[in-house]
Amino acid sequence: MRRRINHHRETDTANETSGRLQRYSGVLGGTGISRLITAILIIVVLVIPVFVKNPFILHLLIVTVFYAYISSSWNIVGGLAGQISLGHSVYVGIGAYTSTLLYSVYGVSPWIGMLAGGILAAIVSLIISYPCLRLQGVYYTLATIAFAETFRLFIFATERIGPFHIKAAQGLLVPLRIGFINYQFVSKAPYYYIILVLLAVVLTVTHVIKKTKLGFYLVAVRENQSVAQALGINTTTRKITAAAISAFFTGIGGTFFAQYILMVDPFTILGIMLSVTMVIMPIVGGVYSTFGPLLGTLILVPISELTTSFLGGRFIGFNVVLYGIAIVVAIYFLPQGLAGIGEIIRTRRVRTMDAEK
Amino acid sequence: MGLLVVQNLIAGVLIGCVYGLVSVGLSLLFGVMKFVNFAHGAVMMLSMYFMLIVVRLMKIDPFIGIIFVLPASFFVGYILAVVCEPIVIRERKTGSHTALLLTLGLSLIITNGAQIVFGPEFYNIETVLSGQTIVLSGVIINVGKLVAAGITMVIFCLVFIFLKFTDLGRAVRAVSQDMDSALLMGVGERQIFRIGFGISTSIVGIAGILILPFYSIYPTVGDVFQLKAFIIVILGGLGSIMGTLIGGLIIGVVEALGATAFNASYAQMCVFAVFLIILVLKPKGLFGKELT
Repeated sequence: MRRRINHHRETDTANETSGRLQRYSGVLGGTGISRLITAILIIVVLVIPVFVKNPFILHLLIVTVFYAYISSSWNIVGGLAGQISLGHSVYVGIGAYTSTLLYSVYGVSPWIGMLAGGILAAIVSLIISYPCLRLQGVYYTLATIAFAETFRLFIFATERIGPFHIKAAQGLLVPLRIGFINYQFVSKAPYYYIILVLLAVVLTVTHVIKKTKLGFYLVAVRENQSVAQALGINTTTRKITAAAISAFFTGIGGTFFAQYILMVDPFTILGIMLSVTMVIMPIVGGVYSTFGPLLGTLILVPISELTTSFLGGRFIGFNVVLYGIAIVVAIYFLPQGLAGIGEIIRTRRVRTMDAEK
Repeated sequence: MGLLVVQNLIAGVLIGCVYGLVSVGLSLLFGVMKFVNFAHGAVMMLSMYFMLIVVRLMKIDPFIGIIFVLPASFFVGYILAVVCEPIVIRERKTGSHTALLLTLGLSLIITNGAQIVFGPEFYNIETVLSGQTIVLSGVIINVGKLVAAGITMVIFCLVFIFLKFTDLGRAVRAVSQDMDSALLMGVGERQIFRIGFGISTSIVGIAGILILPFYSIYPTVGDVFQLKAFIIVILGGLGSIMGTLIGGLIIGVVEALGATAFNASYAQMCVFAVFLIILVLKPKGLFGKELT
């Protein structure tokens, strides 16, 4: 009799604790203290450029946030919809080339060019998606690689299309004209803030999608497409929508990058390495979580940039070896990515409590 | 002009055979375990560097070196299979493409690791066949490519005989047709996976050796072949050996004609265009499902 009462009490404690943990979980998760820390971090992130003037550090920050941005954009179709696209660099390229060509040939402000690039990328994604999203799994991935490579080869070997001189492998230089209207700045700080805003936008969009019907349909597609279709969900439309949104934001990122380094060429802005990098960050950080790609980027990019700067020379490519190791480790031990660690800890805690009965 | 076209066409056919050889290993894994091996090209690259070490450092004649490459490639494949196994088993239920990403990660490690160890320079191995050509009624044919194509045919026959007539081959076919029944019949799926992987990598290892007379060695040499191999496997149809050979020839010819008509980059685009058309029109490929 007494043993049964004890048993009951132990279980209540376990339930109570996990219930308490759940009650405080919001978008930013965790207890009240966690929220305070997050707020402090946000303030720190915003004022960094005021105190830090070292261009190398600012460059590191900008590159990190940029990769977080395009990884998060990829994650809209890769994580939310479960379609692993390994050709997303094509959208970065479209964004970059569109805004740069419009600017150098017609003098259109790159801000407008950025939107134009994003929209063009979304349109191209519709063209690519229509035949490809009927395919599943590997076939889709290979098709995205094929499309991306086709585009890269085309740019690589073409001098001009009509009035636009693409200059093939040489690449284009963005005409230097400092000024807000021209999306060019002397110091790095404005670039930092722009990409931060873009990141916030894309993270918000991701979060919103997850909460709406589209998000739930995408989860259904991701987990088991056949069942989703049997339930009457138009899986193709949903996937195409996610792909288009993803492409739009990725294209915008392309313009940003072009305006930051003031150069576009097929090697930097297109190519499988960029596509792969865009995928590695979310995998390591966690594809199912809104902040997963950001998490993955925060770990991988600084290490990558630092190893490139300090090792250099003989060790070119060492950062990619690290990327490879990160992916293998993530797949082996952290299928949900780093964001999944919270889940693992929580599960273990409840399990330990149950074991203490 | 016409002579040039014929010349390029023949070169395309010959290199197409080699493409087919690279692809048949991939086809075995794709068909047997539905396993996407993104590290396929990396193994090919490794076999070429291995040969480099054997010839330059150990001063062994390249033709004798082949004897070492075969078991070494098999071994690498076996190890890769052991590494990938837990993930394959874990993902069998959820059916996701984690295996693809896993092998992609392995490929990044291997390829860039090779770049760090060997450097990004291009190496060449001089053999009796390097740069040799024969002339048939005005058409210049590269002897190295001819030998490569010939040996490819021999290997294809061997693979065909293996699958059709040996016990192990029958087991492989059984697993590819119906995994559960094969398990009921007592076929050890893990061993089949490992041995299949090993055979797959041995074949690409040989392919890597065969192209040495007319191809340079550099860290990313395998990537180009790997991408074409995927295209060829899908073009020819999953699990069809004959389809892989035909697919290889088609790609080789398309590439050659594209290079003659335009330039090298546009030729590659033609290859991708063919691939995308096949994906849209006939995703099962030209020769469909059975592993024969």
